[in-house]
Amino acid sequence: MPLDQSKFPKAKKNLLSREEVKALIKGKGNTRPAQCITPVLYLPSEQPFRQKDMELIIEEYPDDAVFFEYTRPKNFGKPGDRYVWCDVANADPLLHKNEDEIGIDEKTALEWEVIEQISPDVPDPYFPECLVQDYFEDDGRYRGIFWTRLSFERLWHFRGMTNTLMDFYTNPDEVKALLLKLRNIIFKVIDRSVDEYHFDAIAFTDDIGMQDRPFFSEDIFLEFIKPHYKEVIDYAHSKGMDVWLHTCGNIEPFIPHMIEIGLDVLHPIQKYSMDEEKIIEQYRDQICFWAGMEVQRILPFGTPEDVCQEMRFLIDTFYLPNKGRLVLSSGNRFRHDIPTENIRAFFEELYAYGSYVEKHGVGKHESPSKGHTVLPDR
Amino acid sequence: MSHQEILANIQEKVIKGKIKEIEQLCVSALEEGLSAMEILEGGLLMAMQRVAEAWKNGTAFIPEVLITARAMNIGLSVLEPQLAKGERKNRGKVVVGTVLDDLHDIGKNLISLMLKSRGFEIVDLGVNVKPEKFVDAIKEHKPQVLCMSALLTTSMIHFREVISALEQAGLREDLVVCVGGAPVTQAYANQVKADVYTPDAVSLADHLEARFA
Repeated sequence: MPLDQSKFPKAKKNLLSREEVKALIKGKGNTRPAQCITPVLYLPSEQPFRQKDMELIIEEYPDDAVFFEYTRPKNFGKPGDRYVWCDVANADPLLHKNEDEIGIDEKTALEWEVIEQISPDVPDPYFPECLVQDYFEDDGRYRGIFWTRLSFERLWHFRGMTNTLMDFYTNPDEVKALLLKLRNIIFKVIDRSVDEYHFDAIAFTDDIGMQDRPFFSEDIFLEFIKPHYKEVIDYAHSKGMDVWLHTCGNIEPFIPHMIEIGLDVLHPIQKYSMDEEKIIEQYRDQICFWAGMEVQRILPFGTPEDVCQEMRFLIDTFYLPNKGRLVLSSGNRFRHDIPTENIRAFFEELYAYGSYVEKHGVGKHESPSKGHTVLPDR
Repeated sequence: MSHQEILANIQEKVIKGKIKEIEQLCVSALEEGLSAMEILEGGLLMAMQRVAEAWKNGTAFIPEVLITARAMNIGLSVLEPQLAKGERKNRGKVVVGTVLDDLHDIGKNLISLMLKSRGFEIVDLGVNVKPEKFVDAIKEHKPQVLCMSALLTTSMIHFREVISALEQAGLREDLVVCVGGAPVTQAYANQVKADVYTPDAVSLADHLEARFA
């Protein structure tokens, strides 16, 4: 399906086609950087106070690459339920307890004995109720499916984060068995996404970085996570799909491994956790960066001019003229403390400066984080 | 096996988080004639110290700190009845919690384990803690320290609310208030009038251990 710009009557930009985004990801592009915000901006659940503003902004600046979220399975159900993570009767640790008193970790974590009782074939991505959310027909843009919680995130949604981090030492076999089961579920999601929806890509979340370092060592990554990622990436590639990955925090030691196993697009290279200029220097043209503007200081507490300056810095840093290798978004969701005028500045400058560098090449804008410390003023 | 070898073995098992073996190793060490204090200092605490150093060097990560702290606390539970009264310093009481609108708990859990292993008594209020719950806990438990954690820019604003509520209740003056979490900085800690900010739980444990030596 060729891209038809007339399908976007309010758009203030010329969108990129599927082929242009594909080429840009592979480093063979000759366009401006692409915009892809939908996986981190789920418009139907935007902040109510600015819902209409956001809908208008997205109509004016539609994504060049769009993602649809695969319906998330419920956490708990009863035996016989097909689209749940846990179908063991009365397994929910929250049952009969006061939720105000409960954290999300050990008190709600599932014991391995419970996990072992879960049916091997749930959740079933082919279950009729499982649908791609807010689906619309092919309009010529690059399209993908978004499946949250690839491996580590899924593990700790079963076991709690504290337990999971210790499980790598105390229950390694159980962790590997659970990852194998997760892999098989993801394979089915990929099959369905290709066979029924003809998507170009699959995007995952898996936060494996903290502010100053990864959650776990490179040894743990190599033993548990990398093999899981590789199998998923290989399978997606065998079906003709690109693989996109979001992970917050500092993941610097893992980036060469991600490149080695063929990850196509990596998000967001978090500012203050990693040095973007060092990362691009080391891995230029080896992977497509899905650079995410940080949401800890500049977007929530900066001015619209700070946001524009940061956007120019990101594009100057990551964009490779006559190759591409750059998709842009925010680093995470636009929470309610991010002013709407900053969000508008984000989209306007993304397109304006992106179009400028396509014609004139990149400049040398510095991040506003180098000039002053942006802090909440309240 | 010499006493030195016994202590080295305990250190190794603690560092590897061999929690099933630690309990028996501590019992055996006592039977071999080592004092509880010798096992604590030469085995358990030494293991914690090694992991803390590795954290600072960037060679240890959260799993290593967690399993070491947990193994140390299990060993400690064996030794405590054998420690002479007052031999193990009680450094004080610490209330910990993740602030309102925030469910992230790994930092809070880590600091709880670390401080417990260093002789602090911990009162863990959990996650998504309302300011009034912090105030009530300070009134009830009369701690020396309050540690608050936040991972989100939208939740770290509650530090200021809690500190204001403590001031209004007349509970702030003798309390050391510590804040931390991914988006928190020293400048922000100053802005909300916290006493202590550290970039991670291990640094905070070091700071409080020195402060309450």
